[in-house]
Amino acid sequence: MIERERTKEYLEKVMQTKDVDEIEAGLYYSEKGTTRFANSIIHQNMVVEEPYLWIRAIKEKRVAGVSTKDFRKEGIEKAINKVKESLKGIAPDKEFKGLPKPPVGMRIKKSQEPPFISPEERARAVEKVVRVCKRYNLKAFGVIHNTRTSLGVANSKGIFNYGMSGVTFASVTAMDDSASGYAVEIKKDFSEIDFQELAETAAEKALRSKNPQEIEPGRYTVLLEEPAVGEMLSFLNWLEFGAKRFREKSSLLAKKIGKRITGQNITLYDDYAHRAMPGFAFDFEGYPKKSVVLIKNGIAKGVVFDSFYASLLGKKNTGHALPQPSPWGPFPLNLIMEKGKDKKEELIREIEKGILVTRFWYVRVVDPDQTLITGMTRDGTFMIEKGKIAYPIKNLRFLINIYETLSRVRKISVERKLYGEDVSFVLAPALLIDDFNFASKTEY
Amino acid sequence: MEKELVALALEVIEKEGVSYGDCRFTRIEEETIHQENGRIDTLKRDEDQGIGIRVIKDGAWGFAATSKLTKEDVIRAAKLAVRVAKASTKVKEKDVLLAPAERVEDTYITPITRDPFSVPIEEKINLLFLCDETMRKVKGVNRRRGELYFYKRFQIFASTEDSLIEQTIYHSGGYIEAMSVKGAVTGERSYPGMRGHYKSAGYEFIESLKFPEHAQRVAEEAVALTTARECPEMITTVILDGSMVAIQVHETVGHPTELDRVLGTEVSLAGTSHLTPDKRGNFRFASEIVTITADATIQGGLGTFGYDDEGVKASKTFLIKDGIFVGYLTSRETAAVFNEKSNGTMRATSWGFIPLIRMTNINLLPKEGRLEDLIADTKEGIYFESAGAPSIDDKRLNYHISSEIGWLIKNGKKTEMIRRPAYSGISYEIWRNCDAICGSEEWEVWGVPNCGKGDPMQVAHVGHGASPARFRNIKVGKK
Repeated sequence: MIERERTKEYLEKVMQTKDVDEIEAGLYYSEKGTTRFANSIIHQNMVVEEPYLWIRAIKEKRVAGVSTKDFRKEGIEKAINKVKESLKGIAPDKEFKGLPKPPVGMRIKKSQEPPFISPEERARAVEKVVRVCKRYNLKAFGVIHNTRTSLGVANSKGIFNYGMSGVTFASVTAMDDSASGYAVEIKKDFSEIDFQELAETAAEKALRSKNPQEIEPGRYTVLLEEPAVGEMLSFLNWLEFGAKRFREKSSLLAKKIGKRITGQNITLYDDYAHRAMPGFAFDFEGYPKKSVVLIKNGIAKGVVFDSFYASLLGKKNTGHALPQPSPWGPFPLNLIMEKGKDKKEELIREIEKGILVTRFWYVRVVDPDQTLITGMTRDGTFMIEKGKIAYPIKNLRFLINIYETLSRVRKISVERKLYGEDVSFVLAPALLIDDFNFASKTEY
Repeated sequence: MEKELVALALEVIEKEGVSYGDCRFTRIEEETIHQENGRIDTLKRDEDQGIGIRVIKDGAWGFAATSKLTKEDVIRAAKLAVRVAKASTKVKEKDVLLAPAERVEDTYITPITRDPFSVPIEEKINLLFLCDETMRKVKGVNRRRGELYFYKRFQIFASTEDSLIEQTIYHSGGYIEAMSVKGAVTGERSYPGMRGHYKSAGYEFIESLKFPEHAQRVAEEAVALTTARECPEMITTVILDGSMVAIQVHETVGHPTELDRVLGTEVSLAGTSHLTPDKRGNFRFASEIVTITADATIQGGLGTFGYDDEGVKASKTFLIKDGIFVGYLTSRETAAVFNEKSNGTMRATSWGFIPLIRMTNINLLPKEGRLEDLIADTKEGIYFESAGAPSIDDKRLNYHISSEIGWLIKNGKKTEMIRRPAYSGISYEIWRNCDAICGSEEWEVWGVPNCGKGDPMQVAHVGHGASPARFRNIKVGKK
């Protein structure tokens, strides 16, 4: 980790750059330990440390950026010279209104240094997983990523913020030649993950998945488990909740502010402060993040902003900038769906005939105008009959309009799980949805 | 300095008693210039460098990497790689075996005419602004975009088997794009190919693309797409342009022939493959006219290089020959499983990642004829242009691919425009239904600069030589 004072020193060096009107610098440091296992052995195992310094400089409304991983004095000087050289060649940006100023009373809560998880600890966790899978004559596959990060951002208008964050991503796929089952946990604290339980869940799904039956595609009631909902919502997030598409009116939400856009039981918001959320209390411009309601009880409420789009549209900066300069605009990085009241098992009991989906795979946007996405089911797809999981089925391709799908949510689970990686996360419940469209089938 | 650090890392791991080790110093320089509506919203120059050290100790893999380029940090990283390998032995069944590789001492540089990093920024920006100005004049265009991207990778590879390779690779590319909004409908159109065309080349490639000559058409088609018809739901004949054939090859041939995923080592993310070893040499994957190679030696492909990241020389391999599935993309470890030699496809995104089997240039070999002749020879169907988003299951069977634009074909002529058409099916079925492939005059090596694989995700630059092709009895539509 690069601690606060050292981060400040690096950034202050950049702030002393002459011959620019404004300057911003950020220092992101990540230390990622990954243990990957397949066929019940560890086959990829690594530790990678990676500091990353970016600089955005402005002169006479000309804006340019540079980044480097060379933290030697000459490396930083080279980066500064490069950005100054770029400023000479670029045209002024008439829409750029300047770097953000620190808001009045800005105070960021001090963060704790996350612990280092050693390769030996990760290997011991994999041992537990493999032991469980072997007990059921299954092979274990999966990954453990443990990431510790620090982020410091400063600008010449007086912003300086620093934070630390940690997250562990652990997934297990239990498999044999005819079946597979998947389980995943993402937690801020490695010690909160019960690897034995994770492996048991994956193994149980794999054992239940043997000899899947082929069913015809069509419209079914579904129980989407948390990872599937997380994936669907992450696509909605990128399509709909940033200020850029809102400004150009190419998102559906932009045309429906104050109007109904999903079912009444859907509330979505972005909140970095939720206790399950990894990440930082400020954005990549160093501006404090605010909690933002995006959809409340089915009504479209708003989107998130960074300093550029806030000034352009006369809105308040909500602290959702990505590293700058960037063509993408701001995005929510801590999306949360409001939970329901019922347990997942109760949701299953509600289903007379329907399909349980463990997870989605290779989801892509087919038509952004309709929030139309497609993807496949994977690693645990089951037919539910009379409130019980009846038999495994072969995987299906879905093709859905996300907003329409969120208008047909019958029930929402009380349980929620974190979905995502690195700096972008979704806290998602399981959803019981009617009339979910499966377009085609595959062979397994 | 970098060579000394690489040698130091090797010295440390050899002292630690590894049975194999390699070390890569990689420096990647990138330049991205993005304009939108007459505004340069991104001018960014990135430099990324560091050292990755990979070892086999006590029969198991370990890897550590650092961007801190001091002797102390490199020694620490080298020792950490060995420690990580020892941790891997806790969950191991047998020792890792590598297929033999030749000792190499060599240098490789992408042949370029004009170094893209020496071209003045003003020249690049003026090119983007010129296109923007042309697109702006077309009534109904709401958003104009353009991007230029340049990549230079310098790498020193050294191994405990005494190989020492230096490579400098250049990639250049970009796109222009227009969007029109009419009510609830958007039309998006880009040039060239699949929202961009990228090659292993210098700035001369950007000049050859002649962006300004295409700007007006791109803008007009974006506007026309807002009133174009939706894709009909039907089974019909499909003609794909070269960029779409490239994506079809990428998803349904490139990925499923990666031997690591076939052997299960990519299950945690990408999945496995239906092209299992028992099918090799006897499975009819495609019609007889289809032959597909993996070829890292051709000029201009994003998968063109001198040596892979295990120090194995670039080569050409048949994957599909006369329609039969015959080969895999391999590494030293996976090739050893079948007592073969690696065909040199191991590549890492940067110093901070382990190399994985990656597509090189996966090429559908050309047959004969021009696209216009193929359309003229087609009574009814849909012509697809400019690949959009692909999706495919985790064994690479059920695919769904959309494009920016299409046209109905009636009696040998392109007729009505279609907005964002899509087609879907089972991968070997579409290839078995391929009845025509255009000739070398239509053949182009398309670049895919964003191929994702691995966990953590690595984004690779890969290439696909392809010409337009025709497929019968294909399901089209969005339902």
